[in-house]
Amino acid sequence: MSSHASALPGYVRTIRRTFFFILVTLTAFAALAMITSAFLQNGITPQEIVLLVLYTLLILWVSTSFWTATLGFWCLIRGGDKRSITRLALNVDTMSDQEPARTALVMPIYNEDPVRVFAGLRAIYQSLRETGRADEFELFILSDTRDPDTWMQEEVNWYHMCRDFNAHGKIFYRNREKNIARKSGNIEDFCRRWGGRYRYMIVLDADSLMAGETLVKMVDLMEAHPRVALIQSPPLPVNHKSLFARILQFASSLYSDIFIAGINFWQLSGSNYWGHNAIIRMQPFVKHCGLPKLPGREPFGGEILSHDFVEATLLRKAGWEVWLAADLKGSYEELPPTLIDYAKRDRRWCQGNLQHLRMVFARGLSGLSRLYFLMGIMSYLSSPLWLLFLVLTGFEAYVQSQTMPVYFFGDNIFPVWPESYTVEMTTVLLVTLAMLFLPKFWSFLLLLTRPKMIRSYGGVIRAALSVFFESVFSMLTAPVLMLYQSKFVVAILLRRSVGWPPQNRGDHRLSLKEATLAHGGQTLTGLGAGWLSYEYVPDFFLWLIPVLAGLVLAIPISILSSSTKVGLLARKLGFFVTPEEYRAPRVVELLQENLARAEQAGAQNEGELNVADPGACSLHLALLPNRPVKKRQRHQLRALVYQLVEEGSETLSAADKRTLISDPETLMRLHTLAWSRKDKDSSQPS
Amino acid sequence: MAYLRSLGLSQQSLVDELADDCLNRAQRRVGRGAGDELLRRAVEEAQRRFDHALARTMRLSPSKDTHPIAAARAALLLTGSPLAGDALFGNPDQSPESGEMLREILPRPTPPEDHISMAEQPLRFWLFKSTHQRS
Repeated sequence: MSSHASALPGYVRTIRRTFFFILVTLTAFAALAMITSAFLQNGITPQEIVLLVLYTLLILWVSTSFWTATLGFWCLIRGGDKRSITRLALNVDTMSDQEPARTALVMPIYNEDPVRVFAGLRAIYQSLRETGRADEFELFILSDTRDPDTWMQEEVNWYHMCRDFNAHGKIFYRNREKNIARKSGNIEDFCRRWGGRYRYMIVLDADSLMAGETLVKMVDLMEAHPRVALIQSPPLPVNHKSLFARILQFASSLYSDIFIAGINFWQLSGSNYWGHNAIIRMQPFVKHCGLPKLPGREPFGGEILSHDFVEATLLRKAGWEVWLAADLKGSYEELPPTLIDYAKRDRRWCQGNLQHLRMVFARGLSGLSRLYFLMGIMSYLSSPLWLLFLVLTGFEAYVQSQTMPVYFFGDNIFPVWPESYTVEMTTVLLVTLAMLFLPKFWSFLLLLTRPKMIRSYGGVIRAALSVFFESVFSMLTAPVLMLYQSKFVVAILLRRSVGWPPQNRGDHRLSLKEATLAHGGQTLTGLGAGWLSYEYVPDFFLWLIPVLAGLVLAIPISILSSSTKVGLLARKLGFFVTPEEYRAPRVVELLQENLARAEQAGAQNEGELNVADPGACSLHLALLPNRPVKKRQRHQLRALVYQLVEEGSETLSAADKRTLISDPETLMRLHTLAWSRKDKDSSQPS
Repeated sequence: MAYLRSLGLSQQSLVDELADDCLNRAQRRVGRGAGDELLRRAVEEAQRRFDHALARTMRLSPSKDTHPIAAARAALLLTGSPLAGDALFGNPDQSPESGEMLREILPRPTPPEDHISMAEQPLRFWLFKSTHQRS
């Protein structure tokens, strides 16, 4: 741990956290007291006990989120949090007595679209050069790509980037031969091999975008606070066209400020790591964050999938500070373009978060670290819990509807009217709904206090309507995501894979077939549940309508929201507009310019890049490690070449093709073959 | 010819001359009739000549420095400087500046390694099996 003193007094952390947890607990306790008193009036049944347990978990979850947002709102309405990392007193001594820091910007990629990856990287680098401090940074593209075509395209894009910026020896590229331990293994490999060169590394995702000023500011903050091991910047989604992604982008832009400020309010120097758009001090990271493989089988064993939370935990455990820079701007990312792609991403994240159940039982961790793991788990487990809660509530309503009231019993002469607990139950429902929707209202209220910002959200009326439509949209999609996430949780716990139609990347309108395959089951579930509740518990049916509507309309909503035409029309009409759309930040502008240029160049060079291209082939050869090949491997390679020549490339798997182009001799053989088999009249090889 | 042009050669007389040389040499090795094989040998010969010209410019050994020559070939072809290919063959006494210029734009995929150890952290659990430190 660093010997320097923290810029944040310890009592501030204690007071804030105590205050926060008291608020959360009291709110949950009050809601529970009301629901329990209602249940106790006619004697409590076993299903009511289960309902109480479920409600306890859910109300704690809702209350945590509500108070985080509310405290964030309170901080921001008062002009911001003076205890945020960006406002703490700078430790000037540490800034002057060291050599200038060298920082690695690392971007791990895996079979991503090279055009988008390099358009983003170029934008980041261009923005960095505009700060005049680009010399303090080196850029690393850490490729784990397995697809052979993408691999070669990455190499050529990398070389072109070096050429265009005259940055040979400043921008680096390496493709791992074996992608052991996925993303965390990729970063670890970088740390082991080149970690000694750098004081800091800034980790990016394939769709990350960060302004040069933000990168420089993050380095300065690290320099000024030597006890800080990691600063996470809050990334905002940008650059979207489909209606689905634009609605999410708007929600994130408008609502996330209060949540981020709220998180910073109670987490302070004990914050978390979200896996990208964060700066990390190299020395403590390599010392404390080597991740082991967990014993046993998936879902709780194997490689640690969501490594970020674990790495932050290990840093905090070792006494280092981890901060969320709540008011740091210029950090961006992208979102999945459709509801189905969003659910697919959830599937991946869900497994990683559920694995953290094991980490809750790790010895020597602080209560706060365990809480973070539990919160990560609850972000997915809450779905099956809500589902179970709804089903049991329906069952309870059915049982109540079948119970005949007894007016005369015991020695009573007068009838004893059954006591109604409508008031208590309605209050519980309204309080729960208020806690879910008030954060949106706080955000809108905050916007109204910032007249300059209102215009960048389309004006008061349009912003208000956008909030309303976003709320309706999130209400309709919430049941769909609830069913998806419940399915994922069950499948992961049962170690079963979840079937999916083929994945699409980038903006694309969903076809009816694709949407029906993905949402057909949910629509049928909605219709079935609607019929059952209408037939047997008509009163409950009315309460269920918002949930049922989302399920029954899942297919049209999914198709409509995937449309870029509708998304752009909404933008034209001034709905779901964000400040980043209203006036694109420089780095986003650069990204869009680079994408347009790449698209134009791509249209001109369609189909040129393969082993036959002498430039791409030579570059690939130059980057291959020179390893001796055993006799047996040589024979296998020859067999693959014969298969390629005689049966065509479509008979080879991506792994076979990768094997072929991983051997220098075979690569050149393929290059020569491609040209010797060409049509004499054509200028390109077949 | 198409292959020679794809190597950045644009001067028609040079392309014709090299194509003839490569085909003649390939014919001597495979004889007449084997079309694909002839073309393959001719392409190989074109590669060999191009690499030798590059090696001369870069003062490298064509047989030993295959990777640096591939890197130089990539730099030359991907930088797309006009007449650069012709220049390799056009002037047998290359000026040292061309080699230096090429050296500056050679692909440098990674910097020198600066190793640092990153030991696996042992994790001990209640209820679950613990991990063991391997190194």
